[in-house]
Amino acid sequence: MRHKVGRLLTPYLFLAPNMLIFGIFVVLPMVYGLVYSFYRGNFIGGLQQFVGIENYRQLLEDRAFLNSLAQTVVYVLLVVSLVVVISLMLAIALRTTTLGSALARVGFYLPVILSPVVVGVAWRWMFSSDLGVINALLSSLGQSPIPWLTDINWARAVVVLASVWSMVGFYMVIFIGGLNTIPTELYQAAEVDGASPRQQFWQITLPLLAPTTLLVTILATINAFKAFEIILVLTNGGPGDATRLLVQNIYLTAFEGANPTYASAQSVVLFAILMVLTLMQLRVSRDT
Amino acid sequence: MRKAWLAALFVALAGAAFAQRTLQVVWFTESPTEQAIFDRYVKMYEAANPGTKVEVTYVPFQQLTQKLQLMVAGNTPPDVARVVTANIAEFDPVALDLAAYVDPSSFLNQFLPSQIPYIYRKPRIIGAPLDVTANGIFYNKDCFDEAGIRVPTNSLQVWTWEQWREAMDRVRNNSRCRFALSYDFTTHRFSTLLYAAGGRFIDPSGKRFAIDSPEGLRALSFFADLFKDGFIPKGQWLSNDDPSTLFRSGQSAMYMSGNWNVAQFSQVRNFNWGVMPLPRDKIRSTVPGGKFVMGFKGSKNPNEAAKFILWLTSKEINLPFSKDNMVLSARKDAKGMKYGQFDDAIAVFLSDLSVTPSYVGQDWSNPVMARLNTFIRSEIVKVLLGQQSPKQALETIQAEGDKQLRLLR
Repeated sequence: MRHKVGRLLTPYLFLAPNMLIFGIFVVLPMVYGLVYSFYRGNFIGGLQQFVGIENYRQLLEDRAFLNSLAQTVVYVLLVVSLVVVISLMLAIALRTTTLGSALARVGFYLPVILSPVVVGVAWRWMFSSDLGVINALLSSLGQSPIPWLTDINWARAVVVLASVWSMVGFYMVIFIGGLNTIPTELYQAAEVDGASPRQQFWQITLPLLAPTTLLVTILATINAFKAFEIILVLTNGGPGDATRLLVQNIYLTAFEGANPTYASAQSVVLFAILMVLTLMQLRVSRDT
Repeated sequence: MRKAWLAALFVALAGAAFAQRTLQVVWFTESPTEQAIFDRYVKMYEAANPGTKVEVTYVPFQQLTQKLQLMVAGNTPPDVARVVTANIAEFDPVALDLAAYVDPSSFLNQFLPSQIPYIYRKPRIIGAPLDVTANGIFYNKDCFDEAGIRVPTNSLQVWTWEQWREAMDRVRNNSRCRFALSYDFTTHRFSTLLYAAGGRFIDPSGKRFAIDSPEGLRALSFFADLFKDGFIPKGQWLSNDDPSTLFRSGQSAMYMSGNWNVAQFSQVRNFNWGVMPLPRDKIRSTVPGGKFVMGFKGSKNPNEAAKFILWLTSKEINLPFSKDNMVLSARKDAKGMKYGQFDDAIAVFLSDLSVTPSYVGQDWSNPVMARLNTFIRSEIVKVLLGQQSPKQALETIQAEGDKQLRLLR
C-alpha cells in the first residue's frame, strides 16, 4: 500500500519545485492582479475600496486606454504581416546550406539575441531627429533632415520597422524548419511537369507551409501585443502618445498615475486577449 | 562539552556586540560627481557611528518615485530617501514623523521659510530640507561672443522676452551653436514662463485652477512658437532627447534648467559657460523648488534614520555638503556662503529667487501639482504637435485642475 502511494506521489514530487516557482512568480501575481482590478487604491494606502466592475466600466470611456488599444491593434497588424512576409522570404532565400547563407542567417538572427533596450538605443542613435546618424548623413549630402521621431507618422513607421527587424530572425528559423519538412520529390515532379518557380511557390511551398505560417502568425501576434521595451527606449510612446501601446499605457497608469488597481484592470484585458491567442496557438500546435 | 557550550556562548555574545545596524538609503543622482560626494559623507557618518553601516541604493531621478512606491507597497520601505518638491507630498501618509525626535519650532526655525510648507504638516514634520533650487538659464559664452551678443549679467538689465527671442535668432545664425535653446521636458520648467508672464496655476483661494488666463495663453503661445520657429529642438519635447547633452556638447547656446546642474557643468571643458538672469515678461520670477531627506514609517531603523537625517541637515554637515555639491543650502545660516569660481553663477540664481512672488512656492507645494504634472505636460505636447490650440490646452488643464482640487477637498 505504502509502495503504491509512493509511486503515485513521485511524479508530483519531481514537479513540485517547478510548480512552487511557477505558483509564486506567475500564478500568485496573476491572482493578485485580478483581485486588485476590482478595487480602488494606490501604492501608499493599499487597497481602499471594493468597486466591483467600476474599473472595467471606466475603461470603456477612457480615451487614453482606447487610443492605446487601437494603436496596439494597428501596430500588431502591421508588424505581424511584415514579419510573416519578410521572414518567409528570408527563409526561402537562405534555406541552402552554403557558407554565405549560413553567415546571412546568423546576421539576421543576431537582433533576436540582443536585449530590446540595446535595439531601442541603437535605433534611436540612428533615427534621432536632432542627433541621429541618418539625419547627419542627409545634412552632409545637402538634403533636409527628416523628422523621424518627432513626426507622428514617421515615428510610427520607425517603431514598426525596429520591431520587425528585431523579430524576423527568430521566425525565419521556424520557417526554414518548416521548409525542410516539404519533400523534395514534390518540387522534382513539378519541374518535370514544367511548373515555374513562382507556380511551385504558390502551389507547393505555401500550402504545405500553412501550419508553420499559422504558428508564426500567432506567436508573432502574441509577442507584438506585449511590445514595450524597444518602444519605451526609442520614442517613449511619443511624439505625444502616438506610439504609446497597451503595455506602456498600463505602466504609466500604474506608476506615473499612481493608480495600480486601474492599471490591473487594463492588464486583465490584455491577459484576456493573449489568452485567446494562446488557446488558438495550442489548438494549432495540436492539430499539426 | 561544557567548554564547547561556553565557546558557543562567547561567539554569540561577541557577535551581538559587534552586530551592525544597516541603514538603507535610497538616493537619486543627477551625475557621478554628486554620487562620489555623497559616498564621502556616508563614510564620514559611518566613522562617527561605528555601529551603523549605511547601504546606499542609487537610482536615476526618473525612477525615484516608482522605486519608492514599490518599496512602500511591498512593506519594505527604505530607512531614508532623498525626495523633491514634486513627490514629497505623495509620501506624506507613510513619512516618519521627525517631530518625535526634535523640538519642532527650533528645528523648523533653522530652515528658509519657503521650504517649510513642504515638510510641516501640523503637528507632524515629514522630512528635512537639504537644499533650495531655482530654475534658470545656462548659456554658452563662446557662442554668444562669436555672435557679438552681450548677455545681461545682473538683475538691473534683464532681457524682455522679445529681446531674448531676438538673441536666440542671432546666436543661432551667427555662431557655431546649431540650436538656440535646450529646454527640460518638465511642467516645472515650462512654468518658469507662466510665472514670468504674470500667470499662476492655482488662484489665491487655493480652490480653483487659474491657468486659463490671458497670462497663461501668452506663456504657452510664446513657448509653442519657440518650437515652431526652430529655436528649441523638437526632439526634446516630442521624442525624449536629452536637453542637457545638447548643451554640454556645445551645440545649444542656452539651456533652461536649474542651479543643480552647476556641479555637473563644472566638468565642462570644451567651452565657457555662465548663467543669465531669467528674461522678464510682466514680472521677473523663477520657480523655487528643493530637495529633502525623509524617513518612512515601518522601516527597520526609524531611530537611526532620524539620527542620519538630523546629521545630514545639521549646520556642521549641510553647509560643507552644499558647498561641495555647489547647491544652495536650505539653512538660514548658509546666507553669504561662497562657492569660489561659481559665485557669479550662484548669485544670478539667488537674485532670481529674491524677486520671485511667494505664490509660486504655494502653487508647487499643493499636492494637486504632483498629480497633474504629467497631464499638463502631455497637453502642452499636443499643442506642439498641432493637435490643439494653446487656448484649448489651457481649458483642458483648467478643467482637470479644478476636478483634482475638488477631489482633494
